[in-house]
Amino acid sequence: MSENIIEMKNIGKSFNKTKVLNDVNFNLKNGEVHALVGGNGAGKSTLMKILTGVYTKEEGKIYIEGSLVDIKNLNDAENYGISIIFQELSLVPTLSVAENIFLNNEPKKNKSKLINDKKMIEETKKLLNDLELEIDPKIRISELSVGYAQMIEIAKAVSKDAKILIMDEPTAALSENETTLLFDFIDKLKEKNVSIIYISHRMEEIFKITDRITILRNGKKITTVKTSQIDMDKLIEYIVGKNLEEKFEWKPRKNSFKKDKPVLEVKNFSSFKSNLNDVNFKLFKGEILGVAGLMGSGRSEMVETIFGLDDKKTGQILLDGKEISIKNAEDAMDKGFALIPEDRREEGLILDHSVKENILLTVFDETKSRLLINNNIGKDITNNYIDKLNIVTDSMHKKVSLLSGGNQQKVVLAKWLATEPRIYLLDEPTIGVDIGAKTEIMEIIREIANSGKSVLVISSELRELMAVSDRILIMSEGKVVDSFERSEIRSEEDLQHAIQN
Amino acid sequence: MQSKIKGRFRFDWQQNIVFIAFAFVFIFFAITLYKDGFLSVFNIANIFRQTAIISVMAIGMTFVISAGEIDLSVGSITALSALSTALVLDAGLGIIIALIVGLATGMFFGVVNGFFVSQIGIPSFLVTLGMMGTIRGTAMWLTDTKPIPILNDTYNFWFGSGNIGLIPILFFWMILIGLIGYVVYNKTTFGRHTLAVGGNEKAAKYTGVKTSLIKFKVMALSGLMAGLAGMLYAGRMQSGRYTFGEGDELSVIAAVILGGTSLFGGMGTIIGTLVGALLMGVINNGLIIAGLDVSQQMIIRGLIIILAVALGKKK
Ligand SMILES: Nc1ncnc2c1ncn2[C@@H]1O[C@H](COP(=O)(O)OP(=O)(O)OP(=O)(O)O)[C@@H](O)[C@H]1O
Ligand SMILES: [Mg+2]
Repeated sequence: MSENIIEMKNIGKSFNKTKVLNDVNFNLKNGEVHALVGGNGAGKSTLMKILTGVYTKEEGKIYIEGSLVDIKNLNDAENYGISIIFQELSLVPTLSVAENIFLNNEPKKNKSKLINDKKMIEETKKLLNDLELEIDPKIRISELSVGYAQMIEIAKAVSKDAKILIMDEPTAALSENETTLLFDFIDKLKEKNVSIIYISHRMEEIFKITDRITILRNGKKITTVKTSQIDMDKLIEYIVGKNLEEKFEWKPRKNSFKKDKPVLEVKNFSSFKSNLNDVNFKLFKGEILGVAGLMGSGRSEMVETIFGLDDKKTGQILLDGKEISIKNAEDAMDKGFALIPEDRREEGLILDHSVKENILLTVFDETKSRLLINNNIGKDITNNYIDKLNIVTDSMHKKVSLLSGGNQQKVVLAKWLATEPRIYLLDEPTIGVDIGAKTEIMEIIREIANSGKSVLVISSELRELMAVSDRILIMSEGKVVDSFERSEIRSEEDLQHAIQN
Repeated sequence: MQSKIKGRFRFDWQQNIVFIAFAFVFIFFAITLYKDGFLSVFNIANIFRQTAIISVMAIGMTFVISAGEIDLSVGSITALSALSTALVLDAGLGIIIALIVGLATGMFFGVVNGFFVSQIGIPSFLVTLGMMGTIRGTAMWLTDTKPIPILNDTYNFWFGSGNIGLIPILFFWMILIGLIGYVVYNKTTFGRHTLAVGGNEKAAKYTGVKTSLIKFKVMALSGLMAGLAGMLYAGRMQSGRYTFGEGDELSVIAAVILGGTSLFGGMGTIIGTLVGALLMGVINNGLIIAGLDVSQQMIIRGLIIILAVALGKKK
């Protein structure tokens, strides 16, 4: 038997005449954790979808344990022992946790065709236990936050006892704690000699858990290296194709802002529905306020509540010192708020519409000259953002659903940035975004604040949070438990510590 | 360990409102129409007779709607299957052949619907809207709009007109199909995958569920159930006629939605559907006994349906 459990040779693939994979070679060794990295739209997900039979390749060959195989669909892949966690959640929101984990793999009562629900729920409990998740197996997926849904997705993939496990950005929606849980679990899998392909835009993770790294850029393979033989700078250079000057460093703000009258003040915010418990904070003009906390600490719930998406709240919102009531999202937008939601597929995008239509949705009125829509204004706005955020798409008329995951996220950002509100509420704005665009987004956030607007940004990536925030709130169990000036925080560990307590 | 998510106790209004509505309407009529014999054994039996045929179609429709599709052709299918059954019996070919032909008629059109929906990718709304006219037209043309009487008493007894003791035979059909439907919906992979397709087709596909096959099967199943419903019409009316089941598609869909199945797919209940059908039956029956004329009945029925669904939306 060869040492490579998988060999993909000279793989080529195009969509509508655009070549997205070009002569790509990829090998996975038995028992290794192999990182697959590259910018948004580089072709990582496409390569993995070819390996699992979701897409058909146009060129090339795939060998598993040395023999040539033809994988036509997911069931074939599963028969070869390959299991995948897709980047886009592949859970059915209306079904329960257990039903999802065992979808298409339902345990049967002996000798009959009937589903054994009891066994299904027991096995789910066991599995969730292994992942240290206390989630009721009978709860519907639609009731879970994105992070938990992501954990269920992971549980679903590992439930199949695969020999080869593909993880396409499994940690994108996870915070540090869950990520650590996942890494512990990956260690356990390694002991069982499971081979893992790991896709992520988080560099630290790559260095922490992978043995080798393959870099793709614009559909071509750049190289494969041992993780121990490359450093972060070099890796980033391979990914972006040039030396990235500024990484995530905190830059003291050019325009200092006055902290006398807050633009936004939230007082005694509570909500039974989302377990918010007496939240208080202030946001000043020109300030970037970071919010850190564990998964389920109420960060998303807090901004959603401010944005008028929760009608069961109590407490006050003061805008420029005057109490206001926000009834719904439209009302919030009228009052100068914008929320970039965490769950982009559910809340952020109309997937069947084009890039342009999505970006312009929020600024429709501005594209009109007199009564009619002026197409040129719209095109200009769109092109501007495609450029700025480096959105990889063949044209602005491409359906958003056909973009790569990170590029979809960039469209969400563009859409809200275009509205030019006074107060930005950003919930995990860089989920799934590549390292090049991340620095760009950080810079945009700084620009926004410099122009006198206020930004509240939630992020599970502490480096990012520390790079932009002037002040950081720590949330826990629905409360704001602490608040630090950026200058008080010396290191990421400091912050991590504050979050854990 | 902080990852803790418990199922908060939540009363699922959308799925349970039908029971409350049913109890409310039933008690209301029982009190106000007591003197008019609403609670008499004869009348209760009558309600079941009127409800059973709709229920049979509604079971099939629950699968269709759960998969995120719709079937508007069920009413027309009943007419054609009733007619073809009547013709077979008229020709003296016997009950077995009649049974096969009646069911096959329904199944055939279900399969045609399923083919267009799953293989060609036309939305089920359009396919079945078209088929609705085509099938009813075929039924008219088949006998030149003439009704065909059924003189086979055994058939008439078992497929619609008979009683066992005080209980109408149609009640047993309703229970039988309801039971089978319940098991298939809740306990088999087919049922589970139907919900998965309706809940998130892409996710289902990415989990290896054969989504087109599921869509094909639900449409075929709905056709089959409509075929059976047509045979029950034939037995109950002791004839076949092209007008059977006119407008039934709407009652059927209303029963399913009232019962708590999501119009967008992915969630549903068979028991709810049965109670939803009964609720419609009770309303119709009560309004007739109360002596309302047809126009008043239509107005009130419409309002009650909207009210019940609106209440179900309440969080
Ligand atoms: N079904 C499709 N139809 C058309 N184009 C597609 C389709 N799927 C992917 N593409 C295109 O192929 C390219 C590669 O996409 P892919 O999803 O593989 O990128 P990726 O490396 O996974 O990026 P990300 O980091 O953003 O997830 C993108 O430009 C994308 O727009
Ligand atoms: Mg991807």
